[in-house]
Amino acid sequence: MKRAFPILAILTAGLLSYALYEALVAAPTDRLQGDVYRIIYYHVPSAWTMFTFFAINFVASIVYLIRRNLKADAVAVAAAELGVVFNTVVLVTGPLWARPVWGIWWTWDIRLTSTLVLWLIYVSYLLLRRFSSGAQMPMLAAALAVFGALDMPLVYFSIWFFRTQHPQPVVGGGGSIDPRMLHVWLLNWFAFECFGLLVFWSRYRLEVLRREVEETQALESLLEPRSVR
Amino acid sequence: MSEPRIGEVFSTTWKVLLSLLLISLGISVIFFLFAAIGAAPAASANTYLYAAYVATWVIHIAYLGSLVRRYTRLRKEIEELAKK
Repeated sequence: MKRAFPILAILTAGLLSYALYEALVAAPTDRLQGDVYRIIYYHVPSAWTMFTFFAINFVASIVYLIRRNLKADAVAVAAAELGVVFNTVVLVTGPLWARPVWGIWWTWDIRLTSTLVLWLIYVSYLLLRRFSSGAQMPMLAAALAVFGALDMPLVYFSIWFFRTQHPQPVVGGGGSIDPRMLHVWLLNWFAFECFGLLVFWSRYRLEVLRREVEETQALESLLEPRSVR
Repeated sequence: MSEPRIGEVFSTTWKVLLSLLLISLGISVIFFLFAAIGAAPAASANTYLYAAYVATWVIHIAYLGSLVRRYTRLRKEIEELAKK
């Protein structure tokens, strides 16, 4: 992976550039919304990528709770950070799309509110990991992640089961979309997944390295001769 | 003598309280921001489109920047350990 990383990074950068061109230039203009609908090519793929990383965090947290596997814990931290980054993108691009289309920046309907709650849960998870120490912390964080993940189905299915301001799903939800728009949408999703997975790998490596350094520092401090007061 | 880190200064209770305070402050800032932006005159639709694309990359680049900063800090710590 270490050798393949630069090549994959260049390929992903190329893919993202092509996806950007397709989103802003090649995709047809929407008859009702005009060009502003093109926010969909960043908003929805970011949401799906967010779900990918929160799902990885969920699985890794369960593995950690069952096996106390430190690699699973490192995977969980890295995935939670990436999930929060993509969740932030969703929460920023959503209101920027809502304002010209709905005439409002925000409304406290279930889809938007549950997405904000999801963000708050995982920010709390990261704060817990950042500011707590001790042997119990990874277990508490994993338990929080498992409970936090319960919000994911609520976010996803909220537009199926409740009347919301947010539009119904056009993919897999009975809606329809122009095939050319669907192509650009899937291309952007794939590009963001590739980008996210590359950053996730870097973050995972950083976490493993940080733990190794902390262990070495702890050993060093144990081996150092103590000063006599 | 090196300065104590934040993790060594505060107890877990204070850290949790501090985290809750920071989250509350964050939510308040978001509310004020929405109120302030809501009062501004409407921009053209394409302005929102470009703002969304720019905001997406600003968020990603800021995160990548934080990763680079953490890697640099870690490399310095590794160098210090190697010197010992």
